[in-house]
Order: sequence, then structure tokens, then C-alpha cells
Amino acid sequence: MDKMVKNQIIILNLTGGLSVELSNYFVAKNILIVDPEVDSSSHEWTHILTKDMNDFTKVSELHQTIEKDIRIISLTPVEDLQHFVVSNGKLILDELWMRNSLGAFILDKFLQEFGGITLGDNYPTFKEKGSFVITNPFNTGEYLDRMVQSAYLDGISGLSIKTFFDHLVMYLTGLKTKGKMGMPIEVTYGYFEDVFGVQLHFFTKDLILEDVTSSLSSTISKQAEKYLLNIAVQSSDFFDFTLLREVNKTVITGLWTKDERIKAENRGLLFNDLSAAASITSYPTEGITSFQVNDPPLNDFSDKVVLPPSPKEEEHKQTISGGKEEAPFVQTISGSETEDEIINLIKGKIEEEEEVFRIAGNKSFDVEKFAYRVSSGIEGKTKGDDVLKIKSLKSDLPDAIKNSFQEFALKLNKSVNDISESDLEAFKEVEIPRIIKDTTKKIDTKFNILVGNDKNSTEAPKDNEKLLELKITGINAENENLKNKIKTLMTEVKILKDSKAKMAEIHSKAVQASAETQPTMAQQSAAKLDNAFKEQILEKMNSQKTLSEQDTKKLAALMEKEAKFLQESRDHEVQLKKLQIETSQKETFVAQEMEKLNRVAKSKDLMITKAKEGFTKILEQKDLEIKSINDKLAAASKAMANNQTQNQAQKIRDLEKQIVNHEKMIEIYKSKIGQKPVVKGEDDLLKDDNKRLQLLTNQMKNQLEMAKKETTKYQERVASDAAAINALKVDKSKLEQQLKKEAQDIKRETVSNLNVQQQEQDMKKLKAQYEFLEKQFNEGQQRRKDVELKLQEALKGQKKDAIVEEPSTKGKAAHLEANVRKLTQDLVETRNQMAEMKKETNKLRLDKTSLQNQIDKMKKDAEKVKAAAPKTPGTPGKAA
Amino acid sequence: MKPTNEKIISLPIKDFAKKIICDGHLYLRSKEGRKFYLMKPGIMIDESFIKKHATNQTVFEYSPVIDDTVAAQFTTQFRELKYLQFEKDLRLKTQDIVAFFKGTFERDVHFLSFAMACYNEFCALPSEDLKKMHETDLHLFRKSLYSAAFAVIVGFTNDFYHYPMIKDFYNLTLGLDLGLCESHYSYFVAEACNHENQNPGSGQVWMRGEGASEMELNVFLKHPENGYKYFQEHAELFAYPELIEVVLYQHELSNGKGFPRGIPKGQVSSWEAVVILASSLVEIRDEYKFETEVLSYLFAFENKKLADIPVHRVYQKLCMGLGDIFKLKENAG
Repeated sequence: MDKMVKNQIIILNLTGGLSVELSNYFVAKNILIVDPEVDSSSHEWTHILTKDMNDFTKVSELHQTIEKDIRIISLTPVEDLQHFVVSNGKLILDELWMRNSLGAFILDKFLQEFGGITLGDNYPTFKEKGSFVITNPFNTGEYLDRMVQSAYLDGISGLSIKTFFDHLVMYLTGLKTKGKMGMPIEVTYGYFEDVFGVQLHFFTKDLILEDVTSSLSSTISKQAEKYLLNIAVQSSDFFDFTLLREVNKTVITGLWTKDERIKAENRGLLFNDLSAAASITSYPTEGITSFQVNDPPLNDFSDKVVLPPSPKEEEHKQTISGGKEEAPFVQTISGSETEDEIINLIKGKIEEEEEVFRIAGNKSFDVEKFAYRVSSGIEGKTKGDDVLKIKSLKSDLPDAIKNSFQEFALKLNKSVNDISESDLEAFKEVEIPRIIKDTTKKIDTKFNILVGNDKNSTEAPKDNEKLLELKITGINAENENLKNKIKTLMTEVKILKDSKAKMAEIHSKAVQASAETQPTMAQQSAAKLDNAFKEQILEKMNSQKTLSEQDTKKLAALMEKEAKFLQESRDHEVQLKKLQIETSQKETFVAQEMEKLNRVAKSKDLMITKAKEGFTKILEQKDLEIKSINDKLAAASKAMANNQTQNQAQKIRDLEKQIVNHEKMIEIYKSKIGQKPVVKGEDDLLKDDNKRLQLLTNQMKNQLEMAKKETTKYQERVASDAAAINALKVDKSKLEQQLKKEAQDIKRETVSNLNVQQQEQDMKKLKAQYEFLEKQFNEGQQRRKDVELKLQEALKGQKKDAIVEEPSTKGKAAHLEANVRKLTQDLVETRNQMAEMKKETNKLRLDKTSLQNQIDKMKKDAEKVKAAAPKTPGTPGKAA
Repeated sequence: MKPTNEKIISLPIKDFAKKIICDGHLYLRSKEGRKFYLMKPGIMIDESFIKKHATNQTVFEYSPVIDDTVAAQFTTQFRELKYLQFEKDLRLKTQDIVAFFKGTFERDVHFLSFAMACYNEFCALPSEDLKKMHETDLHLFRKSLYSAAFAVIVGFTNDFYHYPMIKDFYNLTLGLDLGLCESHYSYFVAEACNHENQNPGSGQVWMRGEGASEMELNVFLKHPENGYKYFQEHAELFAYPELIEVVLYQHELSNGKGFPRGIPKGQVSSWEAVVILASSLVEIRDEYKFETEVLSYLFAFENKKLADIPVHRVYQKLCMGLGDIFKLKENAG
């Protein structure tokens, strides 16, 4: 903390005067501070100190604060933050902060320009209560809840923290959108003495003053972006915005203090732009937290959020001092508005001399008209010092009842406060009926006078009856009113009793609290003596009106003693409170530890359960696998048994399916053709379609003709082939005859080689002929196949066209149908022709086979002949 | 480290070629029966190695180290985390992962099981660049593979629950030493890095003492900036490109005397410290003790080293997440 100031700091003091604490600080830090009213010397100012200044334009222009980077420090809050920052305003710090341990540190931090990114580096000995990382600025709810919870537990207004955080995070989101800020945002929160701090740090790049000032507007408008930062600043007791340029990071810290003076009177602000910040290592962070490890339950702190009172309530509210500035003792008693809903707020201090209790109740009740002064002193104070105000009932309560209660108390020689329960019962049983009776009598008389119903009256009895009825009704109504009022009064008395009970409780607590400070026997006797002395003095004062010097001294000593005693008792009480806080903290710590242990145990249990679950799942999986394998096996064995029948059945089923599918398709196409709606005004399209269809039909016709021609050609060829075959047959028969002749010749005479040669030549010729025929036959077959293919293609094309085309009129559909029918007929004819041709071809094939057989036979015969003929070498062969 | 009771299986080259990173110990037996150690776990499988053995149709002897079930479970956990949205769900899932990590490595499971799951799930760096690193020094690649896996668990224990951010941490740590892969990388540079790791701030002094050339010194001192440049050129790989700046922090010291900028401890954020710590946990070595005893290795991390590098808080949270041993370490640094 005693870090040396880097450069000479010279401050121009425009405040007129500084507080002792601040002056001492500047002296201690050896900072030169110049008051222009006292010293007219000029220096190179580094800072300007101002107070109660809201327009910084003149100061900024005169001293060139922006150009020369002279930083303005304001010791009072400024109205327009935007303007302050634009004028190079860097720090707002009330002098009251200097009475707090953090004040000097804030000034150190600002003037010496140091800062770090952890809370411990930025602010001394902060104990970390929690930390978290924001990656998605719209997913921070849970963390914020926990932080707010922690703040409430530390006695800090969590609402302010919530507002600060929400607005700040949204401001940062805006910066991110501008590309000037990067995720993640690391958040740390903790406390130091009576200060709660929240710190955020994140990556920033090229952040300029405008990025800050643009969101500092003090005007609340629909554009939240303009005042987000301002709200964040205003929600905190001290706001620190430090830019660490060297590492491209920004650190924002919000501080909240329990110090009522700072809260009520001032807020602080610090804008620091650090280029080469140094960190402080002498302030280590106490403790470390992790959201993974700490996960305490969230409590409901709704009762901590109290809205400000409405103007009406504000009117009735009276500030009742309970002594000196110390924590007030507040007790709330709930009730209804008329009967039970009366809220009584008792505010006071036990040990104070002037104890004031205030019971607030019915809003519309006039306190001044119905207020009872009741002696409530714990130790028997003089009347009027201790006041118990009862605020209840409406103003229309009769004066008779109002006064009767006081009179009743006076009768008993008691104050209202001292009235016992039995007295109240007596008041209820005796006094109230008497009051009612008296009141009824008065009303009766008034009524009689009003309607002129005197005893001497001679009016008709009927009118009297009516009047009597009216009278009774009026009395009844009055009675009802009175009953209600009695009820209210009873409730009031009840509240009073409750209040008394509470007071007794408070008293007992006070007695308990001061038990330690109870005087000893000696002190008691001294006190007795003191009382005696007091009485003596009083007597003397009454009789002589003056006091002797000795008595005065004694009196002074007595007063001193009492003051000392009072001080001691206060010290004891403070100690007691501290002990209580410590105990509660310890309890919390123990509870946290217990929770932690429980959590660990739970996590272990969870792990075991998970492991168990895992194993169970694996086992289940294995079982399933086994089962499925078994099923498969059974299915396979069944399949083996019924394989053949199944296959056949399957095939049949498939075929049936196919048939059904085809039928369905035909139906669909038919329905499509039939259902197609007629669209008027599409004549051109229809014409085009018709043309296209005609072309298609022509093409089909052409194809058919071609196919016919081909078929004719083929038939011709087949005919020529048949002729050739016939010729061959003739040749064959001739050859057979020749063969027969030759065979006979062979038998008769020896066959010459020439004949054999001749035969061989014939055979060759026959073979050649056969080959030629075969070739022709193959070609014919090929052509036939081609024709078939073409026909098939044509058929396919026809089908395809039939599918693709979607005629849009019924006529067109009919035309198409006719075409299709015609084509189908042609096709059938062609198919028939083809079938005939096939038959013919088969015949030819048979012929060919028989011919081949004959040739083979002839060959064999020829070979036989060859083999049978005697080979005479050198014998010349016969010419064929 | 080679296991003592390793289970050897025959692995033909065609099966081995399917792997990208070797996940076991690879041996080759000669005709004479002699056994040669070819490759260790965590080494990238080179294409030329595959080609060479493919022609011979080699059948290796192989001893796998990773637990496939564990790796698959980690992968499943990462996938589950990837599709979660709400902060609480993310935190609980992260807690599960950390608990699973702790439970797994309390047994003798090889750390590569986790490293492989992380590599398969998070790696987004181009394979050419990883090959470049591998070619520069295969131990450097192995170091990066392990330290990147550490970055994942350090990130989880430090309250970073978002999948994209963890992925960024992984890739930043994996490519942290890409700046070293220059032409003048040498044994000196690698050893300087190790010295820097063992005794932060001593790397440069050691290099000068050993007579390293200026060019080598330059490679060492400039590698954070070179790495930063590389990542800036590949900013599209990151969900949070602003995190690239983390690379500049890898050799920063607590006393502000680190390089390249000399940033003091108080200005190092947790996300930077995650990467620094992960990188500091692994050196460029031939063998790693932690492969089979990660938890005890993490808990026994040297105190002195922690005092020198600005990661104390992050380390504490790591230990806190993995057990209560952090209390013993609280005064470290």
C-alpha cells in the first residue's frame, strides 16, 4: 500500500478547503497541492480538485484538461456524468470515503495508477466469496442469483448489485457487438470489512472514451443502450472502470458499503486508463472459490426488497427518533386493515432514554384525533417522555367512547398503558353498554324533537307506529354501528396487549443482553447511595435553589460515573453483537462444510449408481443380443425347413404383388387421364400437345411401317432361303441318287480315286452352300431380333409417352386412347407376324438340322467309300 | 513408458495404416527372432512409414495402451456437453466429466485414452500443420498432444463449461509450439523450452551458456509471436478469436520478466493461465511418467514452479476440482 508515487503529482485545488483526512493523506504521500486563493504560483498540473461543480467546461477550457491530460477529481457527486467524463473527469470521491479504510486505497490506486485483474490485486485483502466465468451474457441468471444471495447474507442490498450487474453485462454485450470486447468475462466477488465488491474483467480492444460516454446518459429513454453504464454506476457506491491498455483488458469494479453516510450522501467513480499498470502483490486474495465445488442452496430474500412508501403513507409517517444514530431496533407486527390487517411498526431502542413506540395502522385514521399517550417506560420514566401512539379506527368513533376509555383509566388511577386485561373486560362489560345506553337516549330525545313526537301530541296512532318503526330501524342501525366500533376497539386493545407483550419481550432481551453488565453488590449499594444522593440534591435544589461546591463536584462525579457505566454497557453490547455475528458466521461455515461433505458423498453415490446403471445396461444389452441371436437361429432353422415351399410361395407372392402393382398403376394412369380438369384459355397448349401427339403417332406409324417392311423383307429372304433350301434338297436328292449309283458302281467294280475326288469336291460345294445358307439364316435371325428390339423400343416409347403426356382435355384423352388402341392393335398384329416368322424360322431350323444330318451322313458314307476303295499307288485317278 | 505386462497382438500394416496417432507400442520381429521397438504411443503415424511397410506387407507386434472404453466414454461425455445449453446443465455435465476423469485415472489407465478422445473431439488444426510439427520434432508433437489434453481438464476445473471455449483452449495449446517449427529449430531450442519449464526464466540463459546460435535464440524468443501470427491467420478455426492473444502469454512470468512482453502476474487472466499451466505440465521428453499416474503427477506439481508462473489460482482450482488436496497446495507460491 505504501507504494511510492511514480511521478511528481501536482494538484490544483479549486475546492476552497480540504478535510483533515484528505489533507493528511496528501501530506503523507508528499503530494503538492496548491490552492490558488493562497498561492498564485503556476505549475504543470497533473490533477484538478473540484467540489460542488457541475459545469466543467470552463475548467476544461482554461486548463486544457484533455490536451494536457489533466485529470479532474470531484469531491462531490456530479449531475452529468457524461459531461464530467468528456471533460477528462476521472474520479469522484467524497471526502467521507477518507474516513473509511478504503478511501486512502482508492486514492492510492488512482494517483499511483496501479491495478490488476483480480479483486485481491485491485483492492486489499478482499476475501473471495465467489467467482464465475460468463461466456454467454444471456445465460447468467444462476450466477447472479448466487452473488445477490451472498450480498444479502453480508447485509448488502442485493438489489443494487443485481441492477449493477445486469446493466453492466448488457453494456458489455453492446461493446462486444461493436467488436471492442471479447469473451469470456471473469467475475469475482467478495468482501473486505464492511465493503462488498464485485469485479469483472475481460478482453477489450481499441476502446475509446466515446464507448464509455455514449452509455452514460442520465436520461432514461426507450434506448437502454444509452444509459446502461449510467445505471450501473448509479447502482454502486463506488464504481471503478480501469483500462489496462498494455494487455488489452478492462477491469470494472463495483463497491457497496454498509457505511450509512456514504450510502446516503455519496457515490464514487473512477475512470482510469492505465498504459503500464503495476500490480500489487502485497494484498493476497483470501480464499478461492469454485462454482463446481460450492453449490449452496438459494434462499428467498423477498422481504429484503421493500418498495418506497406511497405518498399517502408518507404523509402519515412520522420520524420518531430512538436516540442517537445507531442501528434501529425494528419490529413488525402483522394485522388486518379493519381488524386483523393492521400493521404495527414498533421502532425504538432499548437502552435509550427516549423510547418512542409507534403503531401504524389504518391508513385513513386521523392520528391526532385519536391518540393516547401511554406511559411505556421500562424503568418508569416521566410522563410524556415515552410515548406510545396508537393509530387505529376511523375518525367517526364517537367522542363518548374515545373519552370514556381515558376517563375509565383515570377512574382506576392508572395510565392507559397500565390497564390490565381484567380492567379491559370491565370496561367492555360495564362501560360500553352504559355509553351505548346514554347515546341511545340522546338519539331518542333528538329524534322525538325532530319529528315532534311529544308526549302531549294528539296525532293519529298509525303515524306514530310508522315513526316508531323508523325510530327502531335507526336505533338498530346505530346499534350495529356501535357493535362494530366495539369490535374495533377490542381489536385495538388486543393490539395494545400484543404491543405490550412485544415490549416485555424486548425488555427481557435488553435485560438479558445487559446481564453481563449487571452491577455487583457493591455497585448496587453505590447505586443506592447515588439515588439517595440524587434525592438529597433534588431536595436541596427545591429548598435552596443552589448547590454547594462539594455537591456540584459530587454531582459531576456521579454523572461521569453514569456516563462511564453507559459507555461500558454499550461496549459490552457491541461485543455481544460481534460474538453473535461470529457465531452465525461459524454456523454458516459449518453448514457449508457439512453441505460440501454431503455433496461429495452424493457425488460418490451418484458415481456408484451410474456405474451400476452402466453395468446393468451392458448386461441388458448382452441379454438382448443373446435373445436376438437365438431368434435368428430359430428363424434360420425354420427357413431351412420350409425353404423350397417358401421360395415358391415367395415367388408367387412377388408375382401377385407385381400384378397388383401394375393394375394399380394402370388405374392411376387411367384416373389421371380421366380426372385431369379442363382449363379454359389453354388452347394453344392443347394444340401444341395435339401436334406433338400427332407427330408421335406418325413416328409410331412410321416405325410400324418400317417394321412391316422389315418383316416383309425378312419374309422374302426367308422365302428365298426356302427356295435355296428346296434347291439344296433337289441337289441333295440328286446327290443321293448319284451316291446310290456310285455305291452300286463301287460294288460292281472297283471305285477309282477320281470318283472319290469328285465326291469330295461335291461335298465341298455342298458345305459351302450350307455355310452360305447358315450365314443367311443367321443374318435373318439378327434382322428379326433387330426388328423385335425396334418394336419393343417403339412400344416403350409409346408407353412412356402415354405416362409423360398429361392431356388436359377429355377429347384429347379420348384421341390418345384411340391412338394407343390403334398402336396396340398394330403391335399385336406385328407380334402375330413375328410369331409366324418365328414358327417359319423354327421350321427352317429343323430343315437345316435335317440337312446337316444328311450332309453328315453323306460324309460318313463318302469316308466309308474312301476306306473301302483299294489304294493302288501310282494308279492314275479317274476324271469326275 | 513401456508397460511391464504388455499384451502383444499381431497387427498387419493395413490395420495399422488406419490409425492417425499410434495408440500403443509398436514392435517388429526380425527373421532371426529379434524384436525391434518401432514406435511409442502418441506419435503421429507417418505416411512414408506406412508406404515402406506396405510394400513388404509387414505384420507388426503391437501392444495397445489406450482403454477404448474409457476413450469412448470421454467422447460421449464431450458430445453430451456439446449439445447442452443452460449454464447449470453445462456445469453439472462438466462436474460429471471431471469426476469421471478423477475416477478413471485413479486406476492405472493410460493418459493417452483421454488425450485421444480430446484429439478426436476437439482438434481443428489443419493436418499439414500438425505434420509440420511432427516432422520438426516428433516429441514436440507428443508434448503438444498431451498438454492440449491437460488444457481440457484444467479448463473444466476452472469453471469453463462451454464446449466451444474448451475446444479453443485445446487447439491453442495444441498449436502453442507451432511457432517453434522454424528452420532453425534444434536440440538447443527444445532443451531451452524444457529448462524454461523446469526453472521458469532460465531457458535463454541456458541457451547462451551452451553456445546456441543467434538464429536458434531467435526461434526460442520469437516463438510466442510466431505462434500468435499463425493463429491470427487461422482465426476462423476459433469460436472466440480474441482468445488467440493467449499464445503471447506462454512464457510470461510472475515477476514480470518473462517474454515477449513481460506482463506481471496481476494481469494474467484465468483463461490465459489455463493454457500456460497446461503447457507447463508437459516437457519435450522421450518418456512421461504421468502417462500412467496422472493424478499423482498433477498433485505433486512443483511449488517453486508455480510461484514463478502466473497460474497459481488456476492450479488450485484444478486440484480443487480433482480432490481436496489443494489445501496442501494453498500456500504454494
